[in-house]
Amino acid sequence: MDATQFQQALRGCLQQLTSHPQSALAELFDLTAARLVRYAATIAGNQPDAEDALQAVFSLLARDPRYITAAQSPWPYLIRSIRNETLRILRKKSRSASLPADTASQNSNSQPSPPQQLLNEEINQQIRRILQSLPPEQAEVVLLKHWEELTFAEIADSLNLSQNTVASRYRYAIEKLQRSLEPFIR
Amino acid sequence: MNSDFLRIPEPSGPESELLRSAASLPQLSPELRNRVLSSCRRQIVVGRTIRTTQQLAVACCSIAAVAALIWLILPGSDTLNRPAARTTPTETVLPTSVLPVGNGINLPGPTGSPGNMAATTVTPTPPAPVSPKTPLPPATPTAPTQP
Repeated sequence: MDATQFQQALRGCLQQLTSHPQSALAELFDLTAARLVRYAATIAGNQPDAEDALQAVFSLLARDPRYITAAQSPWPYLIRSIRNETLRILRKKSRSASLPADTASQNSNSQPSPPQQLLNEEINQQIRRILQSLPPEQAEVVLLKHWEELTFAEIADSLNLSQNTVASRYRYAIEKLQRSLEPFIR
Repeated sequence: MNSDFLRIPEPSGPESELLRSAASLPQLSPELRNRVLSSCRRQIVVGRTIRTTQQLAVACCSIAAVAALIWLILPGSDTLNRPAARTTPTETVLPTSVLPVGNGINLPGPTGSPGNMAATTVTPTPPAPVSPKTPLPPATPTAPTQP
């Protein structure tokens, strides 16, 4: 599912949220939960906290769906919501946030893979490690841009930053990544 | 404000492909979906209750405000407040010219209000004369004081 299809499906869910909230929330969960948990896990550093944040976000949506239905861009709204909830959980637990606990790689390792897939997974793990080596604020911008497919304006809005700050963080991150990813590109 | 203006390098080229390919979705906990959706079901009920309560409160406040406005704006409303003032007993001051001069005293009734409008004339009674024949009680002898 590409970005346009994803946005259309998301809007379809949200249109039903006020009339058929239970089925719309179930559909919204299937559509967004994994991506939201992936992003939350990059902030929280572990998957259980990310899942708790997801539950909190969905509870808020169920209690009062007016805010997300009124939002012009629902996907950045969800990203911002889960970010806020994750940070709230982290503050509550007084833990320091760290970048990505390798949740995706742990899960994908559990499935048997053919050799080519294994090689790809190895490369992906190394790329994720390179992403982890970035400063967290730079890595967050890169992840939101490449994984969550937000525009720079939406990233700035989600992180409560100016677009200039987002741009400079992204530029520094990409410069580092280009050097680090060079062996893989060859 | 677009990316050109900010001179943000748009993600393109092999490095962005590599970054995108590294984005694999995590496997969620098996019970997460049920947990989240059951929590949602509860919150839907809570949300409906809150909204209904809010609407009721707004309706009650509106009705109270309209009633208060009607009470204030109604033309006879000020006269409605007056009976309370009218029913309050007031002291009636009689003109002094009605009172008989030098013939008696106008005594108030037991409740403090003037009883009869006609003045009650009280004739002063002379003091009873002391009879000279009435013997005085004997004086009690007192003990002489010792020097």
